[in-house]
Amino acid sequence: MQVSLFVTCLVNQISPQVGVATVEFLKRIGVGVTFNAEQTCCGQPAYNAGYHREACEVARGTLRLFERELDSSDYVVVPSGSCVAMIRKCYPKLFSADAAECARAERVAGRVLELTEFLVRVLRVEPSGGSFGGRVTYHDSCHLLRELGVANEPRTLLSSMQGAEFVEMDRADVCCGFGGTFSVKFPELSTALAEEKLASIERTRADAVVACDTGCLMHLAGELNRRGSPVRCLHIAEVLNAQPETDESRD
Amino acid sequence: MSKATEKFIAIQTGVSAGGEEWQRLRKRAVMIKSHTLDNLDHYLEQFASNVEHSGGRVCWAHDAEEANRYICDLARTRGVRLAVKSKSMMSEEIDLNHALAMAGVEAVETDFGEFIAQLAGERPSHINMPIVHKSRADVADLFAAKLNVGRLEEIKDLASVARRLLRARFAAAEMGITGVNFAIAETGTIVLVENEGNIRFTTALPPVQVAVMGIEKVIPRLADLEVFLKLLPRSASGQKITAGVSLLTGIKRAPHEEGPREFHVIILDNGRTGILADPQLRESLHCIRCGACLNVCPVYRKIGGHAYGWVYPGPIGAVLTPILIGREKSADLPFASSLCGACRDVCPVKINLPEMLLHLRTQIKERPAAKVDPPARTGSHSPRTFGQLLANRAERAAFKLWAAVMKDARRYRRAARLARLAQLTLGGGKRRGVFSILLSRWTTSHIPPLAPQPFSSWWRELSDPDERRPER
Amino acid sequence: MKGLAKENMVARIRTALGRGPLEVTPGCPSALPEQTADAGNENVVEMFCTELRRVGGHAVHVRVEGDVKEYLRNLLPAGVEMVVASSISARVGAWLTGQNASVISLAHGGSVGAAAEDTLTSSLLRADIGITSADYGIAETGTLVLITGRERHRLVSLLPPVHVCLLDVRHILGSMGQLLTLVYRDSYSGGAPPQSLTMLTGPSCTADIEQTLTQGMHGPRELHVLLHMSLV
Repeated sequence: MQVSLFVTCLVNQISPQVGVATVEFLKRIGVGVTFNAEQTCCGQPAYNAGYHREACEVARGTLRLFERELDSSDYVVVPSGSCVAMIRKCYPKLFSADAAECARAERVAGRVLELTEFLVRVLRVEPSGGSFGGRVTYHDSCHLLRELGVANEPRTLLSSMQGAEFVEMDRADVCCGFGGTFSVKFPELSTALAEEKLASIERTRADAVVACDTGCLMHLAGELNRRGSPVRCLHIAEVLNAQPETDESRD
Repeated sequence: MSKATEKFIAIQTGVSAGGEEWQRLRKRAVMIKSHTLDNLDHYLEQFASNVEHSGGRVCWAHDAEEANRYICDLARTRGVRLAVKSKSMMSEEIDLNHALAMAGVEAVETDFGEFIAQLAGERPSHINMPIVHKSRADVADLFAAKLNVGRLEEIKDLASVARRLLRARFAAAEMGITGVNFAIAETGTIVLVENEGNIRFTTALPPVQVAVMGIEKVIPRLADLEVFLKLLPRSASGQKITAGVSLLTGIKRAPHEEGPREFHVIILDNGRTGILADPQLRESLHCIRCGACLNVCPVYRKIGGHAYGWVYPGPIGAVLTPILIGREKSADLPFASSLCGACRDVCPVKINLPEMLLHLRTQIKERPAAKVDPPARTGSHSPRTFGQLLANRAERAAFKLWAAVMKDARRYRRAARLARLAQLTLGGGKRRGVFSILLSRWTTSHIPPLAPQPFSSWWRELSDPDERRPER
Repeated sequence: MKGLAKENMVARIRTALGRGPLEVTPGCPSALPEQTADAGNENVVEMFCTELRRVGGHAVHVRVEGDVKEYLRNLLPAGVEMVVASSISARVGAWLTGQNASVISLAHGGSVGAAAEDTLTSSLLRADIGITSADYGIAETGTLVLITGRERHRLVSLLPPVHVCLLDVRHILGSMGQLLTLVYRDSYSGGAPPQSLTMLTGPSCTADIEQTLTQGMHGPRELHVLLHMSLV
């Protein structure tokens, strides 16, 4: 099994440890990983802000990159639900003016997978070996949940981790308030929604909140730091990759 | 609002338990609504013809002005001084109460929540629960101040006061005004749902009946009503069916004996043909005004209905308002959403609200200078200021720059290196991100700092640990 | 003028839809398939009672007129004069003999002039109990269906705070779909539809204040359904 990693602009620039954890974990379970350094962004920030032309310009390049990668890899794997939703659901619409381009987008869409989709639905992996100590809870990122229908997969992975106690939070499926440019245009509202999510997390008394999208995690981490809270925000890749001997699993 | 949130969640939990049956109903409802819109001219004509056949009259109103003129003329010629009203969002849209007041007609709201809102001089803040923003204490204070009753603590006592007051008005009113939940084309029947009984009073006692409806309210047949009577109460309030459902057709005719002397239906366009014409927005006309999208919206739950600035709040409001009062005047609304999609999940008629909000965003950004002639009052929205126009220009330039950088890998890497340099220089020891610093003039939002090294550097070192490439 | 307004709106709709007038009458997608519950059978009656009670209504079986008399006697508080309005039958007077109750009867046919109607409304506003029958019941929701025409029950079922309703169990249908099919056939398709068809499910209520349910708003606060077989 050979996959090409689309690491996403947020992970690449802001949370590279998520990319590192993804690669290490995949390699450990026997998946071959390549990374094409020409990748940039899926185009979502411009698309959501209403700048379709600009989104198209960038997405076009990314689409070509995927096509090249899929010549030699079985799948493109992405540690982000919102990017996959953009690629799978929005690229055909973005390129709808050109039938050929649209068809290309649709062909690619089926082979671009979010990390937990890939692990559970394709590889049917059961995490073993890794271990994470402590109580964890899970936040459903909106696009992952509602556009891709991924809800059980991350939970399955978390529940079967040794040492980790998985606790479901109330209102796990309510938006954390990030929403990309929404958090920039409506920061007070965005923060207010994060506060509600933090309250749900607090009620679980979890040591860490896990999600599959860096956007959500960044947003929640920001709020948690502001409060001086010890609760950690971890991407599922980081949890899966945690080894008993390393620092990530303790604390 | 947080107390209301608990109730909203309870309603939705009940609905999601509906399973396959619920999905089947939704699918059927979409088919019926979609078919009806495709043949709207036919069904409206059929409806109107059947209303007239039962002794009723139809006014085809292009806009608020025409509708209000018809109703006020009717009131004047019939000597109406008092009208009782049941809850109607359309009547809010056309500001009917104001028009009636100008014509010397007192219009009294009889739905308990609307009655309270009217007493307080406020607009309703929710489609079905008009005073969800008020506490019991608020209402007790209001009644004590305005109705010459002592301070009452119990809800049932507050309800009794309203009931007593309104009974007298029902009996004295010369005109009853309602909205329409569904209009059945094949029989000329209007359908109204309620729990309180005020609609039954409004439609049974006054001799002159007026019903106002948007063009999208029509459904083809009586048999089609079943689907909607199963969707609406459940979505709106978690009930299998409301305590009262009234099917009203025309005027009193012997030997029926009970009914109004006159029956008038106002069929209103008020900008809806514009929605019908846009294939990306047409689906919003499927809306049955259940309010479920409001109930699940994390933004609505936080800010409440009045913050939307016009008649319709929540996700459906964020779509309808810019269309009906003009994008120029409500450009913020489509952006005030995280596009979480919870609304689309719960919508009984599967309206793809997030998609429409995105579409509106694109329209606003790609054709900012487009003039839209608003047919309706603009509520609390105002045209954009110069500062906003400047900010829009800056945003457009920023995204153009972003695209130029992002579509070229080398440019992207160079930009990332530059940004890290800027971060080191500007941020100093404060660990503030470069974007936070740059955007601090426009937003208080906290954007985290760039990591010291991007992932791509780690990968390069992994693949080629011997190659020394300075990374700064 | 009105003709022009209609033409204009229809024209605008057609423009929006990108076409001219329809040449063929559109065929509507078929209605939901009907469920199979039979009218009046045990399960249907049972379901009706369960559903009605769930929403705060009372469901009681009565076999003979004595049962009705007994039920009404228990409903009337001792020592207080009550006003009972009825749209069903002169027999109501007989049911209430010996009780401290005066009866307003709307049982007689013929239309009522405007002035008489006002007096009627005022009297009904003072009534404590309203007794009517219902034309149909719907089991899946515990709903009563009252259709204007045969009986003058519209105001009697609305104004007094207590509504007592006699329902023949043979008229209880399984579902809303069955009800709509039946009334379309019997009442709406002939070109002379009833002015009003009202579906009543439980007492009136409101949850407008703090989303807390309170029973009894404008309409009745109590609903008592007496289930019988050909009693009235």
